Amino acid sequence: MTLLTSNNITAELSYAYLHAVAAKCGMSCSCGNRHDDGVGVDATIRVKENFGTDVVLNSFTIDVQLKSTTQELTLNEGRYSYPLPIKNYNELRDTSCSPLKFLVVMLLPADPEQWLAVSDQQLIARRCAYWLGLHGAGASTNATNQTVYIPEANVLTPDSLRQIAMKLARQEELTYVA
Amino acid sequence: MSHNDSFDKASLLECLKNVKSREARAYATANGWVRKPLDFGGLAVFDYSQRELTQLLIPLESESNDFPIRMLDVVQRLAEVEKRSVHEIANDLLNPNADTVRFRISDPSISSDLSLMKGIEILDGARKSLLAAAHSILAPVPYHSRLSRREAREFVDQCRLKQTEQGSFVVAIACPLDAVDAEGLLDGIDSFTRQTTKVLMESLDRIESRIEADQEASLTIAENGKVPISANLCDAIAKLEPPSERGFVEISMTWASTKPIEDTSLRKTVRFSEDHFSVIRDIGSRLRPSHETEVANFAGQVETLNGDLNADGMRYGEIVLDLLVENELVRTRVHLEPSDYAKADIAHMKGKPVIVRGELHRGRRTHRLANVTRFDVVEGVDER
Repeated sequence: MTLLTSNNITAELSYAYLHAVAAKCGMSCSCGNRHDDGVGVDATIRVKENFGTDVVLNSFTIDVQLKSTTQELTLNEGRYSYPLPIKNYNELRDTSCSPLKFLVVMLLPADPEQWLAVSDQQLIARRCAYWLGLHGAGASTNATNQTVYIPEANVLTPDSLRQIAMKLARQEELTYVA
Repeated sequence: MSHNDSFDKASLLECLKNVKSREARAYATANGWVRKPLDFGGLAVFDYSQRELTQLLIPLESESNDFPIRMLDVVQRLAEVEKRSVHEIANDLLNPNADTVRFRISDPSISSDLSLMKGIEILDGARKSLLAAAHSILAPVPYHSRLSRREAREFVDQCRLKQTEQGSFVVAIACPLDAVDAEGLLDGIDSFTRQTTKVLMESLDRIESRIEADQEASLTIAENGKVPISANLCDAIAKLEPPSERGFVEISMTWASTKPIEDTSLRKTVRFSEDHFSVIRDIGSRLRPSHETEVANFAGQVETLNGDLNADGMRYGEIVLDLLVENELVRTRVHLEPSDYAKADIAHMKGKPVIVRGELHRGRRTHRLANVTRFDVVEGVDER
């Protein structure tokens, strides 16, 4: 028995992934607490960069809802189907809240031994995380979960995180296509 | 110590629910932030005029679910820029229509607490400094024998003690701009509160600057165009003295965001260290009349009996009372004849209060009550 459960470990690994990607972009990343979680925020990325003269925002924070799963998600027509708890779905789609927010889902192998490998040459974390904006998404009548469709192209990398930040800095929303 | 040190996030978020977006925006505008023409997703975007890559995103809708979290971000950004604690910023946002004066006592001997008596003394010093400043704008004299002007007391009664802020021992008092209706009483367009807080900071600045320049003697001389420093203010500052020699007290003012201060030369923070306090006490003593009398009834408690026996074997002579004078206990010596001395003896033994009428002479250190015409023990009060 260990201090962290398996679910705790996958959650920590998803945060570590986000933190590493953000740091590579020169952005800071801080963990949320239960008060932030009450509005769907697990982590906050702080951006401070001049993206260009036509860009409005240069110093702002982006809230992230973090999920992790070892389940094999169904891939159909280039999109992964992910069952998001209805509470989180409503928090992320809420148009009364800030649009500077998105979902990150980390996919991990079923075998915990595959999650993290460290040697003197490299650090390998499997597999990867995907991002999705849900601001303004349609209402759901479901009671428990709402399936969201994550494009397989939406791998969260330093480049894609920077693209997300630039889009938000131009005051463009991360719209969702159901 | 950084200005965003750990804080109780839960209670701060709860407080921030009460901040009004309009008032947060007014605060930003009054403090050097410029609003951009376009909002984004219910957020007003402000640039900081004095630094690049520094922005505020203030939520426009107080009803939105993430309003407290968004406002916390605003408070944290403001705290970074202004180098103040998040609690100070939050308190100021919650009191936009008040000048907030902070008395910060910093001392190596204060780790997590302060003696109760010292804490009470600091609160009393803070209150009296405001009371002294308020009296000075009503009557610019070097000494107010009674701090009892209605408008000044009303002003202090309206002041609010704010939530405890982190960082040393901090007393934060919000002074509402509309505390007193003093129309026609004062010159100028500023409110009673604003005139008081300006006089307070100008006086503190003058005291500190003159002491630093070895020109403290000039503080006892009237100057054209300046409200005289009062002995009452000096006495109030003396109460703020930190417990140890290495401590200091810092008095700062945040002007109400709804009425920004026009005189930008007015200092917002004044610091007094141990070196200053003995000088301030001395200035206060020199400003106070050396002999000042007042005839009235006083309530008090008999503390000591120092009389002698007369030829008839009856005690008479000096006793020491703690008299209640202007809400403060002052030690006072009184000479009593045998009949009154006997009453004092009974009061002392039974712990009963007394009422005494006489001529109070306020000394620099010791007070004296002369020409006593009444000395009565108050009956009906439970014995000690």
